[in-house]
Amino acid sequence: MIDLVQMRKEFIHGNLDGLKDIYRLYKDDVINVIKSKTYATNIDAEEYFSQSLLVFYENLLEDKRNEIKSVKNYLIGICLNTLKTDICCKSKFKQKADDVRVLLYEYQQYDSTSEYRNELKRICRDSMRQLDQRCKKIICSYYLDKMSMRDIATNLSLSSSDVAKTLKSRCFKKLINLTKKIQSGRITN
Amino acid sequence: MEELPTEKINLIHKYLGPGLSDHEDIHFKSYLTESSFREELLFRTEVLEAVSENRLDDASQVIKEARLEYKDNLNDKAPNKSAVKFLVGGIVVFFILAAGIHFLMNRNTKLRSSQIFAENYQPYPPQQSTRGASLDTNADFDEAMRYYVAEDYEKASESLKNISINSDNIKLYQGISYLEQDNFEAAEIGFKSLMYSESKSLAEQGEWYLSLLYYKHKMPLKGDSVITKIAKDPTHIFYNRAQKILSDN
Repeated sequence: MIDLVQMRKEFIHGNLDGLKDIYRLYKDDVINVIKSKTYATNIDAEEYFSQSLLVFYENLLEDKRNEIKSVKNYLIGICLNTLKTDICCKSKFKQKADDVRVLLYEYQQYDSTSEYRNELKRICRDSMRQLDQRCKKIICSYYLDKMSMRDIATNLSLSSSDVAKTLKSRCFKKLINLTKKIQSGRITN
Repeated sequence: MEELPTEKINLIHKYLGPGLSDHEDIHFKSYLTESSFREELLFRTEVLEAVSENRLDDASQVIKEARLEYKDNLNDKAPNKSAVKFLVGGIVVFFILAAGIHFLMNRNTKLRSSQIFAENYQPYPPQQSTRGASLDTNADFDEAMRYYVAEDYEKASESLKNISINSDNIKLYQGISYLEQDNFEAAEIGFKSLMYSESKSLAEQGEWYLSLLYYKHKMPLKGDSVITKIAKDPTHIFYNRAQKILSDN
């Protein structure tokens, strides 16, 4: 029996070994079910299974444990759903980013190209590397996993939610400043 | 990028984080008229999007490793050389067959998508100057329409960008221009934004072109899901055509 509470804790702290365990445990079963219920080839079924693990990972981080009665059935459900809607796995935040783009489209400000976004992705990886572990966890927990300040404080052993709030603002400001700095540095170079 | 006051930055943070209250939402929308606010919002959104994608990439990497380890384990458990040879032979045959079937199925799906697009797509008809707009706007719009009629969609797109008012009508022409230039992402966002249009007719045009966009870009399942939605609404202007697409395919 997989302990989802413990696994979620490990994910929050950056240990993703649980994904490997789940891969080993359920790969064959899930792929067999997908192949028997659809026309997916072995290669496709394997791809869908890998994608379902990513969705599982993000949903567990968002603490949607109640939805997961059985990990195997949950993964099968995601695979079948993905097959039905033909939507490749995008990060959860992508939806929010698309909402912002729709909102700004009104003002003709849809300018960023995919090259720009790829470059920004590289820059952000560099700037995230320069942040300490606690900062990284706070930014991800608050903005990506929509965790409450109280939960963040508990998970990161902070004394109160106010401390978490102050740290969150400080960390995000640091990330933004670092990103702008690296970005302007690359432009000048 | 100019520095925004803390109040505005906090609003952006709340919008990107847990969400805004009704009261805050009113403020947020009023600030959207300021270009510095929009710039900061877009930048912070894209930074978080990048962070989110990077995190997902890391998880993908772990899954890839698990895949490799799994395969290695299978290899270690292989009983003897002849059995391995037999297995490898079987796998090769299987992959060739699977790839062939996959290729054929893929080809059929692509053909079907292209066919639906070719049979149903026509650019939205051009029109005269926008009613009630200023003279400058009319001149820009007329210029855009000239390029649009001449099928110079890149220039049409540029001229449409210069128009200060971004009406739903303009959004539709802009979407078509992007679609013609194969700028899939921008066209998709443009058509989706028409769903909020007050004009039912424009919202329905947006939906129709969105489905065709998916067919053009070989995403038939997404195209089908929009078409199915249209085919369920008898008041939709493309109801009959959507029904036909579904019955023919």
